[in-house]
Amino acid sequence: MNESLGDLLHRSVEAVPKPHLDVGELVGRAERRQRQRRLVLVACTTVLVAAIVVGSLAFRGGQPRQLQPAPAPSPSVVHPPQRVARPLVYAAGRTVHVGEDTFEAGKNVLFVDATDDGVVFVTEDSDRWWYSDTLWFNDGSTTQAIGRVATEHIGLFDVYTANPGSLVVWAEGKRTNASPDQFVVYDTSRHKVMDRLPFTGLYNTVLHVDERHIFFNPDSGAPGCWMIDIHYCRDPYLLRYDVASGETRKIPQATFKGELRPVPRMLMLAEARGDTGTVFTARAMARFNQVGRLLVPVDSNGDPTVFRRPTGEPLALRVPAGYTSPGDEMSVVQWIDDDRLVLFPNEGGGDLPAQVGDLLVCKLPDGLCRVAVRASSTPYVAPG
Amino acid sequence: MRHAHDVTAFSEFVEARSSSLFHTAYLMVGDHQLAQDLLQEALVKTLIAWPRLRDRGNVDAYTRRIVVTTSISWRRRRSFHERPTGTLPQTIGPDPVEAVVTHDTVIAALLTVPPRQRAAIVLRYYEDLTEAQTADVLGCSVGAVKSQVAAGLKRLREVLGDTFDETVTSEREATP
Repeated sequence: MNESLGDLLHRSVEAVPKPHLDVGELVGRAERRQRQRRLVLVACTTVLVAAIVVGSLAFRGGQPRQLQPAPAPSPSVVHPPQRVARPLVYAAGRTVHVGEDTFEAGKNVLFVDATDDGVVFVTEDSDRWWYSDTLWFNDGSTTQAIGRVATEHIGLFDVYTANPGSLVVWAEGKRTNASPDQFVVYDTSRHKVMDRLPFTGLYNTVLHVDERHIFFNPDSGAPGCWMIDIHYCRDPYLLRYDVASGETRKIPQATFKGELRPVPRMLMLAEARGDTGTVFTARAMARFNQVGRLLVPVDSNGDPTVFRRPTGEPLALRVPAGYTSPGDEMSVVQWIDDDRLVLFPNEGGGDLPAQVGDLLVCKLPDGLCRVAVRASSTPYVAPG
Repeated sequence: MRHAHDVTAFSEFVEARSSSLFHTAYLMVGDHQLAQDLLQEALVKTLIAWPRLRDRGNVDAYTRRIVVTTSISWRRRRSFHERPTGTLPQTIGPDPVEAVVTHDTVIAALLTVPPRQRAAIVLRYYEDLTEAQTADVLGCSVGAVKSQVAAGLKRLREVLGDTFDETVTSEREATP
């Protein structure tokens, strides 16, 4: 009788030398990764999700912590007009859902997101360009390939969209190399590439995209390391690219904070630890655990309060009566307009493939969430 | 900061399960150094998720899932999963009884199988997971697992010939 395949595989690995694993090194890597992830996500997911820590709760002399109100918007800031609501977008297998409509992508969809003009999505290609996949734009009538995006991890694509707005930015995938070296800036209202931004170092990170600017960060090997907090940085800065002028300028962190202040499609989490007092340090993107009907922010350190970004208005998100989230935790994955956001179960901090779960739409004025799309046997790819 | 008891529990988990998880990683990538990198990556992700892993009994399955899914995603970053045709193993000869299926032959044959099919094969035949459990790890349907396994086995047959029995261990043991 032939050997079973299972036995064959077991025999094949028996002789393989044991791995060398240093738990201390693994712990150190996890700590560094977590710090980077928190800071990167806090900063770069403002369009999608961002949860930004403001007004740290000071813990003085054993007195109860007092939440500082969010700073009022600068009087000089002009609020953008309320935009047309975006449809809820997600993908299931090869099908992209755009509100009540669908279209076929032709291949398995790995990433999907929206702009004011349509849907951008990435398909899993079967070609021999192992280091990248095709990025597409669908304007509601036609689909066109707009570039190739480098892929880093399952579920994590370097594609960023303005919300509101028409800009899409991605790390350009290369034919022969795993490491991208520039961002592509694309305007979905004009159907054209506006510019390419070479990395200033090994790998830059997009922090935020608005209607006119790309905010990005040098990598940790370059000066201006505020985003990577492994080491102290005396002169933290980031880079702001202006699409209209084509200029890239160094700006300080305070300027960036000021520009984000009036952004309505953001949430803030109460920072209960207050260990740094710096705005852009601390918690990850807005993730929630269900406690009863209430959605309690993960990492909230006991204070479940969520705030709307521009107003500082407290917010309590609640699921429908009798509802139980099927996932480990829920993340904000899309803003439909200034008053509505979308939640989807998340797992492993986004490192694992999308799992079966419901898409919930929450209305911020009253905090009530409803199930907009029920889970199916096909895993969903949520936006962002 | 991470709690000391979490680190202790994680350390015990690494001590107890790293060999088995490493073997899975090795079957996925076929290279000792890459498998070690892959396992380290999976363990780091596991440690990051540790506070949210409510059921400690599932840590092993969680880490295994990361090993497999990360190895699939690495196809885009590394070309290890597909070797140049010049290094493909020779097909085992017409007389399978006489054939010697070596470690190198098996690993090389496995590497000719596309990553998702390879993952399905490893989970079904090495980890001895059920089709439903395999589908859960891969985040796909049971039907997709069946088709991935069938395609993977076909590819293995092309390289290894009839040198193995594809009955899974649990089914073999259940057979009188």
